[in-house]
Amino acid sequence: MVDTSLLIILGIPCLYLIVALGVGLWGSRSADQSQSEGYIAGDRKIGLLVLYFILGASALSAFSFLGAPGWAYGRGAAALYILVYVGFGFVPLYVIGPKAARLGKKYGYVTQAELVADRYNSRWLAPLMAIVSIGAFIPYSVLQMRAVGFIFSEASQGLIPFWLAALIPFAIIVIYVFFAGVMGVGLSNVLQGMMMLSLAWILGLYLPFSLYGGIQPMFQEIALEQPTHLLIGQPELHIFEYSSLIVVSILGFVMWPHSFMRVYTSDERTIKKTVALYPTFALMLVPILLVGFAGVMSAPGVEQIDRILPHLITTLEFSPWVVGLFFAATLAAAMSSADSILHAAGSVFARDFVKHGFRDDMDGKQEAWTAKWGMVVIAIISYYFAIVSNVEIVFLLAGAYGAIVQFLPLVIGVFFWEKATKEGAFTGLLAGSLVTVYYTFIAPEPFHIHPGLWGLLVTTTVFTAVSTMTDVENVDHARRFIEDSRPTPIADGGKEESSDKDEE
Amino acid sequence: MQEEQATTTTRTSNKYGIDIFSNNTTVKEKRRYWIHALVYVFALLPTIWPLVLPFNRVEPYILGMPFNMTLGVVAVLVVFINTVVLYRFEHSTFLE
Repeated sequence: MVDTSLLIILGIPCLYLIVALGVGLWGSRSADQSQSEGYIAGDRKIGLLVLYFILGASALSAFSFLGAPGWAYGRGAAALYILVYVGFGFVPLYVIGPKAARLGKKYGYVTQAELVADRYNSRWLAPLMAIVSIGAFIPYSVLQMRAVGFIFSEASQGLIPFWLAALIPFAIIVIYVFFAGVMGVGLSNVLQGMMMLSLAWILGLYLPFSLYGGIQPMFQEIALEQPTHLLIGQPELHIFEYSSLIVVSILGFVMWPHSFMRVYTSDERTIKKTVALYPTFALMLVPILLVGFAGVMSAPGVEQIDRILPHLITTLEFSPWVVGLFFAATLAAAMSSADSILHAAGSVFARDFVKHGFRDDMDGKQEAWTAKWGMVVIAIISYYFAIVSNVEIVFLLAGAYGAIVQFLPLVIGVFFWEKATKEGAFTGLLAGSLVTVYYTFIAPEPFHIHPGLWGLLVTTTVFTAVSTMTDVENVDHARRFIEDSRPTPIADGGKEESSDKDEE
Repeated sequence: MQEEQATTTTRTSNKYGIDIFSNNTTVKEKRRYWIHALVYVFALLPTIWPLVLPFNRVEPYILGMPFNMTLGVVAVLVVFINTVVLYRFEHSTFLE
């Protein structure tokens, strides 16, 4: 009997992996994979359903099934920061997404960095941003690999060793991303996103009812035993830290190159609709947090808080079908981010680092080749680090946000500020990144405010001040980005659209 | 302004070089955009310090959730509705 249940528990994730591979590879038919524009940007014709799941499922990684319940379990109401920032995260994309997409279509951009580098007329900005991005992508995919290895080896009850359990799903990702590019990422993310949504809502509603007889009884019991657990603030997380984490995470959300560059895969209306519908995906954090809270009274004392959900699932005597589905959906959550990250890393490497840095004459075919093999090498590097290193899941993610978020002022400058200069961009980015690194690794951050937010303050100040003191090399060049990013009147028969102001 | 190169006649920037709206945006439309932007801000503010303080409480429970959690859910719903309404303002219909 044990064998039958193991067969089911391990069989469902395996089945999922095979289907994911097939669905991913199927995407190779939808765009020209031998050319960079097809491989990286899906020939700019991705529709609403796929874009919704690319952005949604990529943004929510293994963190959604491991880290987030862990926060609710270990840090209580502080975990609400995740719900808020994910819900607001794509709002800035409503403004800058269509603008970037229009410029991309007109001038052939497929990455965030080349847009910024072209505006600021700088040869080294794109390669530099590529290095920073890949520097963030590697730890990000390392996290996904470790999660995948842990989940898959747990599903097999240790039968599959950790190194192999991390290797198999990643090999599958590498295969479909290699052959199907962003279309492979997109189609597999539709499958993965649906699995994530269903598992989250099923478990999140089921656990509180089965363990406590309801959601409110669960919270009442927690409130009685641990009164501070349901309140934002100390002892779990200082309220300044909580608030600044929300703000910096929202500002950084679309600056992640693997999210930002997806605007080049689609058109204005699809992007805006995706942003509008995205909160429906983000609401899946509600049941996810409920799961974490459900562990508080029913499974006290779990040391590694990231493992609270697997712990609940494996100790509560669920039907093997539910357990198998859980493992498969968690794999899906990790893989849907990992494929997007690896694809973006390869693309950024080829376009921003190699092409803009050293080989301007590279054609689309050579570039696609470089992106594919760059992706493979980055996957191997990540695999190497995944098997050796050991850092807690969320702080690394939050730390990486801190560096990426520094791109924001530069991007806003592209669309709204003709007097922004190259000197301003460079000094701002440098100063802000240094401050972020300083408060992340060397000194404690003042007033419990997130290092990335201090960095952003410095980036914005220096960028503005230096731009004001220096002259734009070519105002017409700068104007071109502002005006070409706007819709041409009567372009698509609809109402004339104009730029909204970024709400931050 | 449809030409490759921007021409100076369409310049809409202020004296600091900041340029948010195009010439084709009417005053009424601009006002509407600012209102939408403000709705986002007002949805966000009660979730962070200092405005979160009066809402950072467990009771009353709504749909079983502590009050501060309900607040987060409401904020996300406001983002959803505000963006759909904004889209409908720009493109007449959301479903097409």
